[in-house]
Amino acid sequence: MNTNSHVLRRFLQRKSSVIGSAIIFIFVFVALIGPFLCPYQPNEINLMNRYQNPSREHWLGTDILGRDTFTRLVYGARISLLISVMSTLIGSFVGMVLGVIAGYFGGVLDSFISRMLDILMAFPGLLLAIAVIAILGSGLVNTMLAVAVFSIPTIARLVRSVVITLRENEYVQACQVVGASNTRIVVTHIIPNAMGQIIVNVTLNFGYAILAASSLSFLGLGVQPPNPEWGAMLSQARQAIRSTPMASIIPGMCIMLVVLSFSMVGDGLRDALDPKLKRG
Amino acid sequence: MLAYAIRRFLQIIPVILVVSFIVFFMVNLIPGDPVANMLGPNAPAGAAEALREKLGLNDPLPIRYLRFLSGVIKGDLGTSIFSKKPVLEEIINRYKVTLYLAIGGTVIAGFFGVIFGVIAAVNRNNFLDNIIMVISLLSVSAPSFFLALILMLVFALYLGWLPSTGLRSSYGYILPIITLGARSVGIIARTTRSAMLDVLYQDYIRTSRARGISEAIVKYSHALKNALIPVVTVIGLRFGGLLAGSVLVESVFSIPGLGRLLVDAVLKRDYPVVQGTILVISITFVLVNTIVDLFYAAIDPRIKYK
Repeated sequence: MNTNSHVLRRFLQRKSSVIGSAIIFIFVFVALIGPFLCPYQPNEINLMNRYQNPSREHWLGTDILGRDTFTRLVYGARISLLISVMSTLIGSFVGMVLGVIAGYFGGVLDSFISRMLDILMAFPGLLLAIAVIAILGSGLVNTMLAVAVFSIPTIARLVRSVVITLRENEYVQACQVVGASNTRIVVTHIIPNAMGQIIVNVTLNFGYAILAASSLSFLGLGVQPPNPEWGAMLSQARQAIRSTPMASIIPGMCIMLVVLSFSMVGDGLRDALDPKLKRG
Repeated sequence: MLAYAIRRFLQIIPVILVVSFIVFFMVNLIPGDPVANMLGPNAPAGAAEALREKLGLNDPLPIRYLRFLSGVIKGDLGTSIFSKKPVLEEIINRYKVTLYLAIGGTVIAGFFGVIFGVIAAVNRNNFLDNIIMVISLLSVSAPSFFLALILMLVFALYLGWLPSTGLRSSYGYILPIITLGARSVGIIARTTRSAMLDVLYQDYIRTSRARGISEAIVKYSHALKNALIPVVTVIGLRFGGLLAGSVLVESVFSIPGLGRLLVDAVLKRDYPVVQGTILVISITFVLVNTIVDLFYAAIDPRIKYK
């Protein structure tokens, strides 16, 4: 408890971490409560109202089909954050299991898993996610899975390296000597001690997942219209970028702001959890 | 060094084999009948079976994989379902464009990234350092398709200085290259700054200052030379990332590169093109990473070639 309060204090001492947390909190709040407050439906088409500039009725104007941009943005926050959270959790869970198995058991299992991760990493950037979409097809759930696969190698490698260090500790060897099962050692000793680095990585990954998912949707391979995902919104709005630039700029700004916030929180957590790290 | 280089290149053969294996089986996992896709809905009865036999699709998967592999070795990546042209021909036409974009993006990113990183490091914790670090963070957080649209809006649509889409002239490369490079500028600036800071506090730098060597020579000659070793690696690795990143930029600027080819092929379910494009990009990525590795070994005398 004492350690936790120290970590929290160090985290709160960093201005950028606090600002990042506040922005994320606002977006999550808007995603949860916002749809109840919006006067329009996200897919409500009104062709008489196309390309409206911001006004009292439509705070951020309307898009190519006369839909209210603000309402779509609020619903879009739900979809974008949902994809980010779900894909990160799936990717982190699978990555963590692979990393723990490779790092703790070593030997053939480690070699096999490490080579598999090397191969996944031979597909640069978005290519892996696009390949997964090519197999599964587009859509919300498949986008989550594609982004999850994209994040597995990074977290698995991190967890593996942390576990390799931890398993050499005396307390782990003491547990082995007294006959504790491998599952018990991993669950009660290894994972809790690796949690700090995992949390930092997961936090940073929330942002990367939003970037990857919005990129897929922008290309028409992720969440499909008329669903208001931020990347898909931007892709649709670019057709009228000259007449209604706000419809393109605002979803892009939202993506950037959320990714930036997760980076600031991730950096803050890293510094707070490891005060010995000296950062420029 | 030569032995190390040969060994390093031999090591990538199994990686490429496994990548080709994964790409082949991935495409064969895709639900749906490729023959039905090729023939369309109005094909006569029996045509599907005949085509399947002709293409060897009735053979077991391992046999088909070996046939695919021998095709790859001979430079035959199959035929596009839609254009009916050889996939390799489609890829070669567009490979050059993507390569130009990735090289241009890497040069821009390396040049500005190193300059910004050095300025930030020598002005540590000053106003200039903070500004550069904020811009770096913003550039890393901005989706490239968003940045592309903003640049297009300002420089093509409002100011009319540059073309908004296509490659009718070489000016068409400018905005896509800036977009591609911008994200990496942030990453390289952060790496350079932290590498410079690490070096600036080392004993030999203190010794150089004690000997009365001017501050400029200490910073920009002695320190920078050593700080650049990890930076060169990051720049090289970013090149591979930019190859994949070009998918988005090519889409925004309607550029006929490999990325655009891949996205169109996925949308049209043109599986031979999907297979060929992913394979070519991945092999290029693996090759570039190997060359970066070798380069790193060549410039860092501390690395032993064992």
